[in-house]
This record gives sequence, structure tokens and C-alpha cells, in this order.
Amino acid sequence: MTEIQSILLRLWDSFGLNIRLFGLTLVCALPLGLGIAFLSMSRVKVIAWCSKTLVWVIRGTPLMLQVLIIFFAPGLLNLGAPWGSGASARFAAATVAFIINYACYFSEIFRGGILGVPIGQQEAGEVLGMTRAQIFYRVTLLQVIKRILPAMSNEVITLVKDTSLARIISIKEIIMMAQEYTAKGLIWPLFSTGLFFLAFVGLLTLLFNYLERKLDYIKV
Amino acid sequence: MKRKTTSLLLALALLFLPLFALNEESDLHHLQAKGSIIIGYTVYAPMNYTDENGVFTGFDTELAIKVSEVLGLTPEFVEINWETKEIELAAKTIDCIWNGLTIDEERKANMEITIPYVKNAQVVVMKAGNAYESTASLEGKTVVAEAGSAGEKTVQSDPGLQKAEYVSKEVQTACLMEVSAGTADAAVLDLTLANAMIGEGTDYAGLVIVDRLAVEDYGVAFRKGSDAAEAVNQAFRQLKEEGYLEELAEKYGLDLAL
Amino acid sequence: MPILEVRDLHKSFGRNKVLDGISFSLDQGATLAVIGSSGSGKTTLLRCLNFLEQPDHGNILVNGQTIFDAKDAPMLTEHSKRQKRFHFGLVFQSFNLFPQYTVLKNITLAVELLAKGQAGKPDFTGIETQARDLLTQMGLIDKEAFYPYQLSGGQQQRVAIARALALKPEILCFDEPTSALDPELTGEVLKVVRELAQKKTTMVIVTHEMAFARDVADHVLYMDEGRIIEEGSSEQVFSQPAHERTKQFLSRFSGGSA
Repeated sequence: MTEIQSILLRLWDSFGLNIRLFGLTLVCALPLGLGIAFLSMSRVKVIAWCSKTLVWVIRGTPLMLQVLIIFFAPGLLNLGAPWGSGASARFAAATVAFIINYACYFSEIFRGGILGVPIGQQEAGEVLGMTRAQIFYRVTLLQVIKRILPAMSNEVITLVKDTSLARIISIKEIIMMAQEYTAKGLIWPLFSTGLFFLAFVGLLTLLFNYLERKLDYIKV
Repeated sequence: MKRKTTSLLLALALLFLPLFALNEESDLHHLQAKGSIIIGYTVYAPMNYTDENGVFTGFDTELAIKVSEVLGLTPEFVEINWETKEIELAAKTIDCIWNGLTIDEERKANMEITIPYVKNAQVVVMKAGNAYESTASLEGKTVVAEAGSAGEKTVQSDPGLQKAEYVSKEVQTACLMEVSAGTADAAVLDLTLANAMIGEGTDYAGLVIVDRLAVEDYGVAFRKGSDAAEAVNQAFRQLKEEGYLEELAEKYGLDLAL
Repeated sequence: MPILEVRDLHKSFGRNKVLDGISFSLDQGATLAVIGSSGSGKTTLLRCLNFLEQPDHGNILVNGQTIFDAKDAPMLTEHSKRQKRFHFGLVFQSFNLFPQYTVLKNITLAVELLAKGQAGKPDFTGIETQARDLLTQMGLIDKEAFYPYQLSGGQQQRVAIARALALKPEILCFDEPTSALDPELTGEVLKVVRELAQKKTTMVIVTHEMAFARDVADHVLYMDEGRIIEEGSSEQVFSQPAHERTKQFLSRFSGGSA
């Protein structure tokens, strides 16, 4: 194996961390975001207020700072080590920070999407004797998905690239790995990381295009 | 980007500053109780790096393993970001910074630092064939150094370099990239690092060291008030007597400070 | 005994009194037309019958059973509201078909969900057969696999009528069913409603189509400012209105008789 191949292989290995962080964040932040969206639309004022404040704080501060706080604050406040030690601890902390951050962004997209579905759809479900859950899952949800798909694809693509922020707490994702080579006097690995991101985002773009075509029959 | 990060960290540190001094129990007891010492490092040849055979080695790596052995602790190496090293230390996510750390007054005030064990200098690196005579030659030129590094302090305190256009970088190695790419005229960084990184067989074959500035010492940093630093000092003295340090310094081409 | 009896219904939105003591009754198999200018409270009355709005005061009885009493309204659970809704069906002005389902699925969805909620194995083939019968009745049997956006407004409204009928409501309500349609498309919808009237479907129709109301309704209510101003057989109200306001209202439509 040539040196170039072995370097690319190590970069690919570390890109696995980016992909895992991306996947875990997406899988957890989507349902959590939907939950936060519902809380923000709650008729109970206190709940809606708390939820909106959370969204404001999370969207109003840099993700990088949130990652730092979530990982370091327990130790700095002498609250022990909830994350444990080792590389998995850092990854767990970053994942939690990413999930909270992206759930708040997603919640606003969901909220806009849900409010955008005409009230008549909800009422039609009601007069047909459907339960609230049935109306949401059978009538509203797919229309919401259709509406929010473009905004979602934007946010999801941003997430791919944001995963490299995890290196602020020394998670050896692809860019931090590449910087190790820079430290040895090799520059090209750092720039080559762009290709990994491009390829992955390319795949996601194809997936979103497919989904958009798939939902083309819904005219809202 | 760099500036934003720094101010973020500063804000974070200020937020938690009053809490730093709370823990007054013996740090050494704390380490002995858990039986291990978490050593924060960045990849930085010849101090901490992985060799061609995939073995994690380096002067600091070998020395830290040896000292841990003397202290009866299991060493645990954790790669960190140089810019968050103080927070890592305060948050106890690491127990010490052992990575060619330059000793200066500011750091001594904020952390517990061991006696010097290796000498270093800050060097000026430029492209070969330059017209450098002294730091005054760099007036109006672009000079890069790592943010928060000893190199940056050198730039800010040297009368000649003060007149240069200073740009801070996230890592020392990025400084060499700038000079190589022609986006900066000179870089100020560690001698040990420069020795390891430029010259034949690297991407920086066209760079040369043109000057040696501030001579400085390396030490290991612990949390402020930690008694572990003194324990490491004793281990250093013992290893010096045994001749181990001489041998190790020779192997990596470094100058001992004790 | 009348199938539907409404007693002294009141409803306000904030300070705006929309229903101000509405009482009437309707016999099994009869068609009631509710006429009046915009803002007279006709639509709110329909929405109250269908539990889309909650009256502040008054009762609603179906077959002599009280299904709504404003005094007990705060205790009304989501579930019991749902049960009571099944007495009524509602066809909206803007159709409100579900855009992601085919014509057939629009009709069967609610029936299937209802069947799933009950004990035993639901008979989906029976549900589809019934839906196709309804589509035939609406003259749309060739459109069952179409999506709503592929249909004209008149066709969509006929699907909406089939969808409401699929749940076999005792009383079918129409909220200005032709107001959102181009004039040339109203005929096909009115024809379907007329056929339903001939089959003795109990209906409450809020409409601006005076000629149609006169022709189809057995009974007519004229509402203004939340009150029933005039009530009687279609012949009575249209030919010999007793109240000045009714006369004025009808005179505005005199040109448009068909």
C-alpha cells in the first residue's frame, strides 16, 4: 500500500466519526425537534414560553460554545465526570450538544411546516371523527414533510459540515486527523478532506432530490 | 475564526474562574487514588507523534511514560486542542499538559509548572533565498505564529517584529503552510518543531531557519496548586542522575535544561 | 319527534356576538336551507353542530337525546366529542380533500380508521365497495385513482360529499358548497345535492344559491346578526316573506332566479 493510500484510509476511518455524529444527531434530533415544536405551540403559556426560550438560547449561541460547555462545565463546576473518560466520553458529549442544537433548529422548521398546513385539513379530519393522533399522522404529517423538505435538506447538509466542529473537544474527526499530517509537514491531506465532505453531501443531495420527486404528487 | 474562538474561550473561562480554586485536596492523592494520570498532548514531532510503524512515541511520550512508572501511575494519553488546554486541565478532563510547553510568567501564574527539562528557542522561518538580516528586515511584511504560543509572544515583544504585519494561526504547522504558499513572509515557531518539519523529504523543503530568537524552557503544567508538579520534579532529578534523560535527549536531538 | 333540535344557541367570539339565541328543529328526511348575508352567523351555526366551535349556551338534541349542553361542555372529553360528531357530516366550502391520497382513499380513510378502532377484523373490501358505490352515485367512478389536484373544483366537491356520506351521518351539513366554484361548475354539485334530497337525506345547507334553496329545501331559515329573522316552508319564505329585512335581502337576489 502506498503512503497516499494509507493516509486516505486513515482519513476515511476518521470520517467515520463525522458520519456517526451526523447519523446519531439526525436520528435523535428529528423526533426531539418535533417534540419541541409541539411544546412551542402548546396552549399552556408557560410550556410554550419555556420551549421558545430554549430555542432562543440554543439558536442564539454558537454550536462550538455549546459543545465546550456541555463537555467541560461538569468538571469546571466540580460536579464530577458525567461523560466518563476517554475518546467515547468526548464523542458522547459532542453528540448530546449536537442533538440539542439541531433539535432546536429542526423544531422551528417543523413549527413553520405545521402552521403552514391549512386549518381546513385538521377540521376535515375532525368532522370525519378522526382522533388527534390519526389526524397528525395520517393527514398533517406528510403535508408537513412535503413543505419542509427544502429547508430540511439545507439544515441536514449544514449538519454534515458542522460535525467537524467536534474537534474543539479533541474528537479526532477528519479535519483534526488531517491536521496531524500538516504537523508532519504534509499539506495535501487537509485539503483532500473537502472531497470526503463533497462526496457525502452529494449522496445526501441525491437522496433529497429523490424524496422531493417522491412527494411530487402532493400539491399543497 | 481564530479570534472568535479565543474570545469564546475567554468568556467561558471567566464564567467559571471563581470555581477554579475550590478544590484544595492533594492532586497527587487524587491521581494515586485513581491510579492513573491523564496526559494531554497535541501531535507535535519530536515530542509526541506516531512513527512510521504506527507506534506512538516521541521525547515527551517516552519521558511521560517513564515518569509515570516512577510515580507508580498508569499513563493515559489524550489528544487535545492546544487552544483549550487550560480548560481541559481545569475541568479535570486531563491531569497535565505535557507537550513541549514553554514556561512563561503568565502560565506560571495560572498553572503549576515543573522545573524546566528541555531548552528551546523561537526561530524565524522563511523561504530559502530571502534577504533576511535581522528582525528589522521584516518591517511591513506578513509574519505568522500560532495564537497564544510562545512564538506569538516573541512577535509581540521583539522591536523588529512589532513593525511587521502579524497574523495569528490556529496551529503552528499552519504557519509553515502560509510561508510555503507565499501568503506570509515569515513564521515564528519552536525550534524543535521547525527542525522536525522543514527540509528534505517534507512539503517544506524550500523553507529555512533564518534566526534564533528568545531561548526558552519547556515544562509540564498541572492544575494551579497541584503537588503533583513537585513529585514530577523529583522524578526528573532521579532520572537525570540515572543518566536516562541524557540518553533520551540524544535520541531526539534536544538540549536538556537540567 | 324531530331528528334535530337546537335550543337557544349562543356563541360569541370575544365581544362579537355571532349567535344570539338560535332555536329550530328539523324532521327526518327534510332539507333545511339557511340563508342570510355574510357575517349573519350561518357558518358558525354549522360549525357548532359539528363541534368545530363550542357554543357558550344552549342545547343540541338528536333523536330526542341531548348530545350537547353548554352547561356540561367543560367536561366534554375528546372521545365523547368524537362519538357525538358521528351524528353529523360536513361538506366544506373549500372541499378540504387530503392532497396526499387518491380519490378512493380520501373516501375510505376515516371509515377504515374507525373500523380499525373496533373489535374484530375490519372488512376493508366492504369499505372500498361502498366507496365505489358512492363514487358511481357522484358520477366519478372513473376518477378513483386520481389525486385531488387532478380534478376540477366541482369534481373535488363531489368527492368531498362522498367522503362525508361514507360515514353514514344522520344529518349532512353543507357550508356554502358552491361558493368556491366557478359558475359553470356549480351545476354538477347542486345536481348531486338535489339527488340526495330526493333520496330523503336529512340535510342542513348554508347557501347563497337562492334559486337552488327555493327549489330543493323543504324548510328555510333566514338569519341576520346571529338571530333567526324568518322561518318557514320554502314557498312561504321566498314568496311571502313576513319581515321587511327578509324582503330586502331577497330583493337583492331577485335578478338571479334560475
